[in-house]
Amino acid sequence: MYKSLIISIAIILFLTTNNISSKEYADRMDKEISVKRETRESFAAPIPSLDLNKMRLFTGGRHLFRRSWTPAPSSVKSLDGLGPVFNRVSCSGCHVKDGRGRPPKKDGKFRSMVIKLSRTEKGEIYPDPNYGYQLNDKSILGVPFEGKTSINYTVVNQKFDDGASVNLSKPIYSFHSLSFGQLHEDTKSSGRVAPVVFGLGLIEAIKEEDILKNADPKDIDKDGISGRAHKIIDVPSKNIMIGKFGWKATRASLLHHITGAASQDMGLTSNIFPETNCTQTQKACLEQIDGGDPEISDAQIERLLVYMQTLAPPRQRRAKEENIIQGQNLFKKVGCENCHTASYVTGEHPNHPELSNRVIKPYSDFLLHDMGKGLDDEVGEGKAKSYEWKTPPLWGIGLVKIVNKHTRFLHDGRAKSIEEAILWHEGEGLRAKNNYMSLSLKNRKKLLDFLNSL
Amino acid sequence: MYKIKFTLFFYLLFSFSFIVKSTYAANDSINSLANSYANLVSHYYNEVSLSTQEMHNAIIKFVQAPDNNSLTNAKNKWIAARSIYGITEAFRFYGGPIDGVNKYGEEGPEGLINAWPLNEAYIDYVKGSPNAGIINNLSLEINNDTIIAANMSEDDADVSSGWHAIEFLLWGQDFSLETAGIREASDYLPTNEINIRRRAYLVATSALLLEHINWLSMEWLENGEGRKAFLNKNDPGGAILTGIATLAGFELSSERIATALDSGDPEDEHSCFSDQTHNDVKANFNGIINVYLGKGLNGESFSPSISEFVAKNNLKLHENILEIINETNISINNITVPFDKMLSEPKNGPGRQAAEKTVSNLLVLAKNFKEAGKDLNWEVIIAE
Repeated sequence: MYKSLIISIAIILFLTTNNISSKEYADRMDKEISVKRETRESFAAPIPSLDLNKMRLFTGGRHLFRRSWTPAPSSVKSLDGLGPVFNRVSCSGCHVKDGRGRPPKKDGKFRSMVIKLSRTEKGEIYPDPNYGYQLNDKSILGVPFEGKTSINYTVVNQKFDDGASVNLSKPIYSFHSLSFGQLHEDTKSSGRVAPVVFGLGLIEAIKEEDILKNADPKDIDKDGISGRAHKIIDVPSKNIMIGKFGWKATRASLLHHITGAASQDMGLTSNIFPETNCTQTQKACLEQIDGGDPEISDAQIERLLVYMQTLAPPRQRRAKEENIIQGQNLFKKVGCENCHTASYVTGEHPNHPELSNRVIKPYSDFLLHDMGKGLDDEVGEGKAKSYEWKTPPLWGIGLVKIVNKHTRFLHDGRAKSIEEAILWHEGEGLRAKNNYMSLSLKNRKKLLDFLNSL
Repeated sequence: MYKIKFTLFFYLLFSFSFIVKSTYAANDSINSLANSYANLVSHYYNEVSLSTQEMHNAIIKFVQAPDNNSLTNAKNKWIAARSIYGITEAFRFYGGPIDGVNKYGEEGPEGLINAWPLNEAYIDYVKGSPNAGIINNLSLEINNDTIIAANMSEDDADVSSGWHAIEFLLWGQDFSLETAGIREASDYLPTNEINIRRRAYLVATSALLLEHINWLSMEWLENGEGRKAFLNKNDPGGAILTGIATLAGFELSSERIATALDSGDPEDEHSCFSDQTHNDVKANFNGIINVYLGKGLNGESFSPSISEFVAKNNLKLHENILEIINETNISINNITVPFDKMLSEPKNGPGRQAAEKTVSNLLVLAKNFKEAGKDLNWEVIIAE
């Protein structure tokens, strides 16, 4: 008799506890693939579940990420082949502490930001004839660098409904010390700060169908938000895939992303991008000795790849505090979550089972959206128009000030705070922005507190 | 019906009292483990503090009268202090004073103490760049603020402070597999402005290191904030094991040994200027053993130790751990000295193979620590 009583109590206990834990599970990022700490190293940890036998590849990748490359020929053969033209000599030069770059400080030096160039002719996108798709502002000895950039800001004032106001800054670029003459008259320029590099393997593991589910290119549901997937050709596999990486979702795989950055930012050739990064007019650049064929080896790429794939995203902090929960509700109510999609369950990752079937909370739909005139800098990329931007993930956004000691946001770092970044939203984001502007000061602060807890 | 309820009531009461009792007992011994560990940490930081003070004194003496003798003396004191510091790296990786954030929101000094790899041209001249670095940049004043602000501000390898910065300033670049770096003592003669700046830089960065180590030592004193925070942890056993498991399975095995083995560059070693990497490896490993066994620098015993808990819970696992510790000791001693010479051996060279063996042993050790944590219901997270 009481046996059955105990059993039923046990069942009830089991069901209640089980229910709580599964609810918690759905609401929080998987602990096995995320970390929670508030230090300068917040973005630098491997996922806790990483197979110990892969640690060696991870730390090898991290080491390579931080090492400086040198011009060829050099005594350290494995690390020569820099340039001839480049932006920085190491990955971590831009992605400091695996974190976010910023526009130049007062000294005007570009350390973690590059300038993209392109011109559009009859809807097609072309590089600048002399400078290509990106301005390389540094070079090795004996080769001219391409040119230098200065930034001036114009002020744009924005008023909240309660009368408070904010001065936003819009960058205007000018160029000097150009080695191959003026830019083409139709060439436009766009600043790009280095994005954070954690959680990328998990993003890679998001199923394409889960991204397409949120796409509504013709805005059939008439909510003012369309959102389209950027279908691109993945250079390593030659497959047509959905771009998930880059400010305009131009890369679908991390292999493509890493080798592309090595080529464009550091001038390193790889088996994926074997050509030296010089345009035909740059004679001295083309004639330089290279640092091996390719300069960055497949073994080195593999280590970098494992490192990038298994850097853990930060887990939300202070999630149970009342103001944070209220801020999260406001985030939804205002409409932020219509594009900054909170969570996914990843699919199968081809290389790392540790990344498969995990609950993650990147806060992005990885779709391109028309962000309106304010953010249109007339530089398109691939099939992404100049006014279209991929919803950037928000995870870790509140830790940037701790890790990178700044709060510069958006693709060119023009926003000097998270709030300024919100105020730049137009186009498909206009409604959410207007909703935000109509909130009381207290509620605006709660929403920002929530973002800072991510 | 009453009877049933009554029996059930007693049954539940009995089982609850049993649970409560056993938890109390466990809490008691966990508290004493946390205390003895805190005493051990305090002991080691005190020792590093004393030896770093000696190094700092030797550096001041060297700068006052720079010659080969005073330089050699300063270098020897650096080696001595660092060999104790390496032990204390077993106290990292769980958010303690060294690398955590305290209740005032201040971050531990690890990044200023031990950052690596170090781009030496960021500090001073290097071969091919005679005017490189902060020392040659006359627009920067040499003081603590400059050094702290410059540390990893624009690139992770732009390290301006800590052990490896001092190491570079004492030894200089190493281009030889036979010797360490050979910086001339005359670099520190006050004969020109740059040398005067170099003198100031060396003294300032040494003083800064001493300051940080003294701070760590204070944090773990009887009433130190760091000790209090540690003793208040929910799972001190998990923290202690996380520290040594991460040092074994991540930092020492992968970051410091395997990465050097894989890089293909002999000078891609931890203490590349002084050729002291073999001592770094030994010191880190000693840290792991000493925490596990509760041993002080001169054989003092800090009991209870983690090993006592593991042995009581699972004697076989404890014995496995002792065995792998033993094997690792052997493989570490078989690594060719200096480390850069080992790195230049062919793939199947005996020193390289010993280094490979050390890496695999350390991974096994880390897995065993993780296992031990699971057994004891302590959370062990490697490398978070």
